[in-house]
Amino acid sequence: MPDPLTRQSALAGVPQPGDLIQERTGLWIQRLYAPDRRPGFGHKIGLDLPEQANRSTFANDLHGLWVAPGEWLLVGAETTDWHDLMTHVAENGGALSELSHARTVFRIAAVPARDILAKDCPLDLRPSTFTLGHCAQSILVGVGILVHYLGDGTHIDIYVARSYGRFIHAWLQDAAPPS
Amino acid sequence: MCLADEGARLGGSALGVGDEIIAETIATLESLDNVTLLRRTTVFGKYDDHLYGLVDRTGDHLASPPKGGPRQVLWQMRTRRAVLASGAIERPLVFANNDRPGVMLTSAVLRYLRAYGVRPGKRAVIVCDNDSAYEAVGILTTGGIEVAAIIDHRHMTVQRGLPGVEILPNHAVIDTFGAQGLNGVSIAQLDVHGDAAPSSRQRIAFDLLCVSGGFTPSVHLYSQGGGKLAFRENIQSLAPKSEVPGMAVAGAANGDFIPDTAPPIALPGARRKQFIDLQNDVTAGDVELATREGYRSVEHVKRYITLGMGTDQGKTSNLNGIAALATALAKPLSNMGVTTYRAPYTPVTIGALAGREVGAFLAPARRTPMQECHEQAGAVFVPAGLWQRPHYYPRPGEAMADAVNREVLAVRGNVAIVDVSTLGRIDLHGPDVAEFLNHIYINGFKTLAIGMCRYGVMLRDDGMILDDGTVARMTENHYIMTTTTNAGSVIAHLEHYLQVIWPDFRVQLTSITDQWAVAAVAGPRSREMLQSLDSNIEFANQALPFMAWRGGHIGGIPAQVFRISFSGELAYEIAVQAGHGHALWEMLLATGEEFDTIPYGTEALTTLRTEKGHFVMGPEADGRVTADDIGLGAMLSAKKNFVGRRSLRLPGLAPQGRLNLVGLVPVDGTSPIPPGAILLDQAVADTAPDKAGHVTTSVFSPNLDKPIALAMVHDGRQRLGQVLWAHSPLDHRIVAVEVTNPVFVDPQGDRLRA
Repeated sequence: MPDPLTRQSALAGVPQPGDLIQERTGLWIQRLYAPDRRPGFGHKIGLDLPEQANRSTFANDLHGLWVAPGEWLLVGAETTDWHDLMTHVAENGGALSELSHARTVFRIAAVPARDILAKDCPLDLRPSTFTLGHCAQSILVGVGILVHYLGDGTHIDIYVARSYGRFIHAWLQDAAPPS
Repeated sequence: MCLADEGARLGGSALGVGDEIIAETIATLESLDNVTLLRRTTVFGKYDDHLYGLVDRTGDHLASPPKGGPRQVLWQMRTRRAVLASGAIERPLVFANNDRPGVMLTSAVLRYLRAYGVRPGKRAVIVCDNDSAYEAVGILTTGGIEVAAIIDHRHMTVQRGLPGVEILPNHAVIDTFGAQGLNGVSIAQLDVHGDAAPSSRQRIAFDLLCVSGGFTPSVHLYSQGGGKLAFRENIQSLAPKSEVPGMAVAGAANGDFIPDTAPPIALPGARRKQFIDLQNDVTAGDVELATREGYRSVEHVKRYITLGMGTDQGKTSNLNGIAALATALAKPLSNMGVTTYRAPYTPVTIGALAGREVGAFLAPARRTPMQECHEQAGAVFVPAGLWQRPHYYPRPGEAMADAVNREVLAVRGNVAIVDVSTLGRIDLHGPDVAEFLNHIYINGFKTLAIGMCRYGVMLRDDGMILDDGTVARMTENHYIMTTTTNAGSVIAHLEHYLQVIWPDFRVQLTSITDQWAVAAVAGPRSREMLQSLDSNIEFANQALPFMAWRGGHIGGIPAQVFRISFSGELAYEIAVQAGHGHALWEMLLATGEEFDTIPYGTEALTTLRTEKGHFVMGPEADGRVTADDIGLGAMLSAKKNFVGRRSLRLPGLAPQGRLNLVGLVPVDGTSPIPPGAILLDQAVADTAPDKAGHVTTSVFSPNLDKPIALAMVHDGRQRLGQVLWAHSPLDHRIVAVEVTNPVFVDPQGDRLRA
C-alpha cells in the first residue's frame, strides 16, 4: 500500500525515460474566481493578477494565469502556507476551487516543447507570438490542455486533467524526438 | 512568412524560363530567418477565420522514407494575410476520341520537356483557340519536337514567322486515329457560325497532338474564402471579382496574363465519344442526354453524370462541361454559374489528416486514481465514455454471471466497494448558487442545509431529462454537484445558462472530477466496517443520517463522506483528494478483510439499480423522457420556475399515452427477458400491431432469484399486473412478461435509511 499521507502522482509507476519531459509535482493549484473583487485585491494576495487574456504574472513564488474573464489559475508550491491568501480571497469577494490534485503538469524545454506540441496542438507557439508569460488553453489529441511559457524563456509547462495524465505523458514521449 | 509550392522545385510556370531569377529569389528567401519555404506542399483548402490546410509530401518522393517518419504532414496555418498565386490550368478541347494516348495539353508537354527532360513525341500538331500555343512552338522545336502544323479555331490569326509550320486558321480537329497510339487526326474547316463543315475534312499524320482550349484560373481557395466569381469574355472563364478579407489574388489566378481565348465550339457527331471529363469518363453526349432528361442546373447535372467528381475535382473539365450544358440549353455561357469549389484541392491521405491520433492515441483514455488497483485485482473492464471501468472482478474459474451474482449479493447481504471517481463533480461557488440550482433543477434547493445533500433532476429546455445527481452544501456559498459520466454536457448546459440566460447570477463553476477519488461503500455492514477504520468521523445514524455529509479524516487522509446510495443499500461515498485514492482503496479492502469486503463492478451496479428501479441516462432517460414518464412527477415543483417547465405544458407531453417506467418479470419466472426487446400486446405479430413499449434494462436478480427488467410502456403505470410479450426478432425469442412496479427491492427505502 502506498503511504496514505503521501500524495501519489498520476504517473506513479510509469517509466519516465530521459529528462526531456519532466513532471512537476508538489504543486498547489487553485482556480480563483474574483470578478467582483474589492480594490487592492492584488496587493492583499501579494500578486497583481493579469487583466489581459492569456497572460500570467509572477510574484512571491505564486503564478497567476488568466483563464477566463474574472478567473485565474493560481499556482504555487504545496509546502507554502497559503492560509492568509485564502482568507484574503474569501474576505475580498473571491472564491477558490481546489485543483492541486486535479492536474498533471509537464515541464519541457521551450524549443523541443514547441516542436512536440506543433505535432497536434493548434496553438501558434512561435516565440514571436507566444511570448514569455503567455498562457493559453487548447487541445492536444482531443484532450484539453493549458500551455504556459515561463521561466527565463527556458521552458513550457503543460497542464492536463489528472485522469488524462498517463495518456498525455505517453503521447508526449511518443512525439518527442529520439534521445 | 511561409511560401508553399506544390512542386519539388520552387518557381511554378517560370521554371525553365527564368531559372536565374528563381535561384536569386530562393537564395534571398532562404537567407531570411522569418521565412519558411515549403516544397512539395499544396494548400488544399481554406477554412473559417483565415485557416488554411496544407499537405506537405515529405516522404512520398523518397525510395525508402525514414523509418517511422510520415509520408505526408498536415499543416494548419492561420494567416494574417495570404497571397494566392495558384496560377491557371489549361483546358482540353472537346472532339471525338480526344482520349487517345498522344493527345496532351500543351502545358503538360512543355512541363515534360522543361521540368523532366522527357520528349512526349517526335512530330506534333498543335490545336488551339488562343495565342499561348504559338509561344510553345520554339520550346517544342528546341526540345527536339518537330511542329508540323497549328490548327486554330479562330477566324483571324495574327501572321507569325514560324518557318516550316503550317498554320490552319478557322479549322478544328474533329477526330483522332491510331491503334497503339495517335497517328493522325481528321480536321475540318469551321463555318461562319463556328460549326465544322464535314465536307472540308482532311487528315494529317504525326504522333503528338498538343491541345490548348484556354486557361481556367485556379480560384479554389479564393472561392472557399467566400470570393465571388464573374465570367470574363476575353479569357472565356470565371475569375475573381470581389475582395476576400486577408487575401490577395495575384497573376493568372486573378485572370491576369491569360491570353485572349475564342468561345468554345460545339462539334457534330456526338455518337463518337467526345470526352469532357477525362478522369470520370463524362462525354459531351452525357451532358446532352442530361438536358434531354430535364436537368438544367450545373449542380444537378454534375451529380447526375458525375461531371468533375473525380479526384481532380474537375480542374480541366468543369468549364468545358458548363460550356456543353450552355450549348445544349442554348444559353449564354456567362449565365450558367459554377459548382462549388470544395476542399481538398488535391487528394490528401487520411493518414495526414489523422496525424498522430492513431493506434493507442486514437482516443484519449482516462484513468481513475484507483485504476491500478482494479488492474491488479484482475478486473474485466468496460468502456464508459473515455474511462475504462471495472465491469466485474472474476475469481479464478468464475464465469461472468457467477462473479456478478456474488458481487450483488455482497452488497445486499454484507459490504462491498465500488470506484465511482468517474462520476462528474462540479464545484459551485458564489452567493447565488442556491437560486441558480433552484432554476436548474425541477425540485427546490433553497432550503438545502449545510452538511446535507439533495437528489435533483434537471431538464433540457424542451422538458426532457438532461441529467440527475446529488448536490451537497459544503458551506454558505459553496456546493458540490455530482453528475452522471455525462459531465461535459452538463457543465456546458450550466455555463450556457450562467453566461447567456442569467449573466447576473454570481456563480462560479469548476469541474473538479479529477480532484477527487471516490469510493462507494455499500451494504448492511458498511457502517460497521467504516467504524472499524481509524477515523474521526461519526458514522452512527444520528450523527450521519441519510443524505448528509461530514468531513474529517480516514486513516489520516482528509476525507468527505456522503451518505448517499445508488444501490439502495445503506451506503457511503468517501471522497479523498485524487493523490490519496489508491491508498484509500487499499485501506478499505485491508480494513474490510474481516468483513469479507469485496470490490464490485458496473454490471453489479446495473443489477442493483435495476432491482431498485433507478433509471439511468441512456437506457431509460434516452432524451425523449420526462420526469413524469420516469415516475418522478411528484418532484416537479409547483412553487417555482425551472428550466424546461414551460415545455411540460405542451400537449404532446400530457401524461396520457406516454411511456412510463415500469418493471417486468417473466410470467414463467425463469426466462431471461431479451434486452432491447419490443413489447407487444400479443404473442404473434401477424399484422403490424402498435408497440406497447420496449425493454430498457434486463438483468438476473440473484436476490429475487429470477430475471427482471425495466421497460418503458405506454400508460405503463395503469397496466400493472397485465401480461405483455417481449419480442426479440434478432434472436427469435418471445417471452411473456408481467408488468410490475419498477421497484423490486425495499420499496419503502428502509435499508438505505437503516
